[in-house]
Amino acid sequence: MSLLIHKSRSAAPKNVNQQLIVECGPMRISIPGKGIRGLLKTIETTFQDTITLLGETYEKSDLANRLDPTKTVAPFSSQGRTILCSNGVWRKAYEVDRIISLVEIDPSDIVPLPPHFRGAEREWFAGLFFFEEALVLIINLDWLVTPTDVVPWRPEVGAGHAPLESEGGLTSVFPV
Amino acid sequence: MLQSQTSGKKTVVSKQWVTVFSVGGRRFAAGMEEVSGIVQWPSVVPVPSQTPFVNAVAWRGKEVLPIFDLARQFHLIIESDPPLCLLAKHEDGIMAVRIDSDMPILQLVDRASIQLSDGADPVVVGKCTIDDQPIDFLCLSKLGKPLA
Repeated sequence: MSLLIHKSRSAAPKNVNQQLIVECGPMRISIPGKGIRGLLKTIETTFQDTITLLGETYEKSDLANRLDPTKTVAPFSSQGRTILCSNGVWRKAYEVDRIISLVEIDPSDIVPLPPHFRGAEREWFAGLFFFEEALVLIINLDWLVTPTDVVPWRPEVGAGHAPLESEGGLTSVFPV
Repeated sequence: MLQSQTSGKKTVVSKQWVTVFSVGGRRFAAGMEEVSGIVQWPSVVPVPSQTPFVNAVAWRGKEVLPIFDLARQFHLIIESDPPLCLLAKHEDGIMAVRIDSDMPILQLVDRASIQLSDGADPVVVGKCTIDDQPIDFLCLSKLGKPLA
């Protein structure tokens, strides 16, 4: 049985958005499919800080811990997976508790984070969508893979710097 | 604005409907016009967040509602089960607030009985006397706003 589920209104969607839904602590989070470079069993990478695949190196992190420092994914779980992600510029590997599903969703089914959320979470999440009668948070791929010591490029602070473009939809960054 | 007669002398008394609800056993009041409804507590998903007291969303049908954790702001614990959901008319849109299972009441009070504070706190805007007891009067449209 295929992992991919079509969750779109029409039989032949024109502009679908592939999302990998994962479980991370108490949350269900989806990672844009365009940013996924590989999937590994976490138990096979437990004692590695970095993972190298096809000549590219991915620094490993815990996704639950990145979002909430008080939480971590379950260690040594047979269902745990490590997801290799890239936006074309930056790469990172994230441990998650388990893979739920790979779905195709219509962009019109994605709702933005309500404006009441005013903090850094606006940068962390690109929106929400319904899956199996529950809400799933879509993670912002650029935030997910950009090193934490890289400040997002903004016109007001980076006048004169040409923004970098990438296949992953990266707006722009510059190292500090 | 209602009119009342007192001691044969005509006076104009301004009245206001307030919603009185409880969170963790503590009562609060808010203007009726700031309450969109009271519903059963809906399904909720946590949202990692740095916005104070806003760290989950609920949904009703296809409507996504951010949740304001009023109990946490006032260091209260809701033990009544199942809780109710007060739909607050926040300035950014409807917000869900978890309240005790005791059904809120509507009460008509004199505006004069609402003691407004200095305005430094945009949420707790004053005290309202209900059943001879002062309770915090909240401005639900400003939930989450920091002190001035």
